[in-house]
Formats: sequence, C-alpha cells, structure tokens
Amino acid sequence: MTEVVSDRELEAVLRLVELTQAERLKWTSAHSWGDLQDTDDLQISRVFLADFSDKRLRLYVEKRRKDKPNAIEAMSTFVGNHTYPYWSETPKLEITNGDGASLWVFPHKPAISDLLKAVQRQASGANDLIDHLLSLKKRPG
Amino acid sequence: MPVWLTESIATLTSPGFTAITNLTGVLAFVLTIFVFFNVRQISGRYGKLIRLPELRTSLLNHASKIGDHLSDFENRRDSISLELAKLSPTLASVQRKLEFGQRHTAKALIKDVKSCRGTTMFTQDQIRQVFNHLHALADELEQWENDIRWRK
Repeated sequence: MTEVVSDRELEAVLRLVELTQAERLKWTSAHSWGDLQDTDDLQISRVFLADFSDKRLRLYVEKRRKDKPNAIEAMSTFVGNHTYPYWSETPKLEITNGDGASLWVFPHKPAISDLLKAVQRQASGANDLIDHLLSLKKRPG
Repeated sequence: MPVWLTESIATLTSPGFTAITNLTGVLAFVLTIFVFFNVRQISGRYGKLIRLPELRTSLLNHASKIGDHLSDFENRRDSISLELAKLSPTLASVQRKLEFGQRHTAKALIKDVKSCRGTTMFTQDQIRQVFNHLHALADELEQWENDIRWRK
C-alpha cells in the first residue's frame, strides 16, 4: 500500500477492495437481519457478508428517507438541490457478530462505494458468466 | 485674479499642506494594497469552496471507473489508459487550487499518472496505486473543504 494514504480506515477499505478483486476475500449475498431492520424511513438492501481474520464483515446499502434538509445541509450552499422527500443511499461497512448485531461501523468513505461495486461483481458471479460467454464458440453461419 | 483664489492656491501649495496630501496619498495607496489582497484572499477562499467539491466529485468518478476497470484489468488496459488521460487535467486543476503545503498527495498522484500515461504497458500495481492515491486525495480535499467552511 502506498505511503500517501495516511487514514487507517481508508487504507483498510482500499485493502478490502484489492482483496475482493483478487478473489482472496469471498463475499456472499445475504438478507437483512439482526440490527438491520426496515422502518418507515429506513430501508436496507444489497447485504453482503464476508469472513476475514476471525471477524465477520457486513456490507449493505442504507436508504434513508429525507423529508427536509438537516441543519448542516440547510446552511450549506453547495448541497445539491433535492425535491423533498427523497431517499438517500449510503453504503455501509461494519463488523457484525453471529446474531447480526452491528459491533462497529466503518466511518463513511466514498471508497466503500467502490468496495460495494467490487463485491457485487464478485458475488453475482459476473466475471465467471462473462468468461463463460466469451469462451463459447460462435456457431458457423 | 480674485483674492480668494490667490489665497487658496497659496494654502494648497504651502509646505504643510503638501506634506499632509503626500501622507494621505501614501495612506490611500497602502489601504488600496490592503483591500486588494483581502479581496483576492476572499475570492480565492470562496472560489475554492465552490470548485473543490466539484473537483472532488470528479476525482471520485475517475477513481470509481478505474476501480471498476481493476476488476478486469487485463481486458481493460485501453479503457484505463483513456481514463488516465482524462484524469490529468483534473489533477492539474486540483493542484493549482491547493496551497503549497497541501500538494504532497496531488504531486504523488500526478507522478503516478505520468509514469502510466501514453502506454498500456503499466502494471496492475501501478494502477492500484493511482486508485488508492485518488481516494486519499479526495479524502484530503474533503477535510480542507471542511476547514475552509469553518473559517468562513
């Protein structure tokens, strides 16, 4: 890993992206369970699990309904214009236990979105499908 | 010539009055310089506040595309090369917006991109490093944005 990345959490997420793309870390698709429960203003989707170094990692997308801008957004001139209410999507990465309880959530980093893309590609078997399709011989004519 | 005009000219050309006007002129010049630099500083600060989030989003978009290409590295060399070419102007723009002490990551990234540009013979590790540096730079920009906002 490069010496420029000084944020340990960011470095860890980037390492997870690398391990996932190298297929050294296997993710499986799962249902939302344990602490992840849908409510009227919160929906959980795209849940993935992976075991790494005696820890269980859980990656999912949290969709939160926003009815009005919060205090920081209201003050900021640079927040995009939204028509309220709308659903904001945030990918979350956390350490969970066997009961699905959230033990620790990684701080939000845009790199988690890239991790989610890599995980979706791996867990869906997209690479295998593409390899298989491209290995099929074209029928003559 | 009327008396009042003669007296006025005499007053305006007296050594005491000339000294005062000279001093006022110097003070006005100093004040102009002071205002000029302050206006520049304020416009620079607000310019950064507007441009940095946009540039950070652009960097993250490049990172996302490069990250995606890394999932199928050998088959995407051309796409990666194209993405690096698109990335260079954004990096140059980011570097210009940063203060001298904040350019370390941007410089490292520009160096990484230069070593890979114009060829498809780069290694996966080189591109991985560009990807990681992009995220590190985007992270730093977010911190600086927050700092600037607090100084507002």
